[in-house]
Amino acid sequence: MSAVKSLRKEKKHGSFGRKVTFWVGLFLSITYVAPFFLVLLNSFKTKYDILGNPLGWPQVFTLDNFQQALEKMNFFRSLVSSVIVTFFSVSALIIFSSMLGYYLARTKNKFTKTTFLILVASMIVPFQALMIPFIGIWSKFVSLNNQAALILFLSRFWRRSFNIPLSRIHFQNPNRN
Amino acid sequence: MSQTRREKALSKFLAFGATPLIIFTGVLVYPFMQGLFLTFTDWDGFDYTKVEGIQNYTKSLTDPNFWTTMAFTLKFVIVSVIFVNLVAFGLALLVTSKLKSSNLFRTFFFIPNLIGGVVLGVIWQFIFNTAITSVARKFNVPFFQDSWLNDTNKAFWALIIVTVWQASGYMMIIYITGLISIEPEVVEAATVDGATPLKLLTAIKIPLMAQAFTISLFLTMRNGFMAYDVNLALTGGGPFRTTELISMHIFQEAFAFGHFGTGQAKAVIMFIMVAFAALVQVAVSKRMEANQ
Repeated sequence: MSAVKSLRKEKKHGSFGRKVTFWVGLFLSITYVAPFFLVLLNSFKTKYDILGNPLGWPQVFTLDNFQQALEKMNFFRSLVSSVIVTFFSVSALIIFSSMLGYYLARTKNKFTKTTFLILVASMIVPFQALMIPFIGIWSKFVSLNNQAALILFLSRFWRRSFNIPLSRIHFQNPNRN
Repeated sequence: MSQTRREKALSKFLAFGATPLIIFTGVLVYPFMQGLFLTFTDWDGFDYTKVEGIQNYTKSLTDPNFWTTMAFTLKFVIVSVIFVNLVAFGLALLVTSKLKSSNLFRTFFFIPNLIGGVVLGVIWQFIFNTAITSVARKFNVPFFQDSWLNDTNKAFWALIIVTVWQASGYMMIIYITGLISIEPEVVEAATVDGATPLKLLTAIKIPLMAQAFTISLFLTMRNGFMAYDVNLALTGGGPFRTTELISMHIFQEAFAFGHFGTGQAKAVIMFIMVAFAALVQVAVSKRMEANQ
């Protein structure tokens, strides 16, 4: 009897609670997306309009900002550099981390165990501890522009090097195909 | 027999292990060791002439700016770890409660993660400097009338807000994974036994997903110590270098002032600190996991 009662109570409570969660979720979603919306809105305004009226709709709709951005910041060149750096660092990462992950998962000895621990520990090496020597080492060989690309590449590579432990876990998974 | 086995192991190492490990050494181990060595010399960014001992370290540790930055960083790490995880766990609970729109919400919460810290910093700089102040002037709210970024204390909270906003989506995913890995039978059994939702959460769900807490506490702490891009784009260390986090401080030391030796020494000190904090955190979390 009391079980039925509590069930009924829960149902009632559940629908009310569900409404509350929905509204809370909606509110939070809006706060999470609002900054992007604000930027998008302001990108269509004139400079004067942005400062005078940052939250309202644009008084004069303009695309000047986009044109200026494309001209001034060499947008496409930066985009190409980003794509190249991303392409090479991601490919290198996928190939090398799965190779090493496979090796570490399938060979069990002292050497692989120690290597794995070092790899995990390397996650907490701050990039600042590597950045300065990087520049010291590479400035002797590479020109500044290539150097920047290289550093970007290395930093991404470094940042994701903990993919190796992840792929090791993957290769250890008994349910693998 | 053992000879062939050893040969087999060696060929496997050469085929799969050698190349990545050589790269790993070149990218990480060698620069790290090199950096460690250089802190004991009079290195100026290009060359060193002699080994000097621990001068760089004594110089770093007696720099009052370094200690201010350190205190600011620690405060930032502690507060951001607490808030990011609270918010992320709350969001995870929200999107795993069987709502129809939970998938949509999940996407929205994750969006700030897809965009780099510098862009987010610029967006929020606009919000703090222009959007909020203009609204506050219109409605005459003195607390918001001057930009938060011009005041050290408020700039700190601005950094926290942006960090929580950015990181909570990612940590939410980790908590979701933890929450959905709980066997539904256990939850059902507890409900039948009359557990209230709060009791269900604290006595059943949280202990069963302790591992998710270990991981995301570790990640948020590490990200907190290493935060750089949001700091750079949002406050730029200002006003007057009072909101500089440790990463930025090291960068400034090396590249703005050209003190490569002390910059590197500070980076090593930072590494030791992060390593220590991470070890303590993981050990404590593991003990809590084992106590269940």
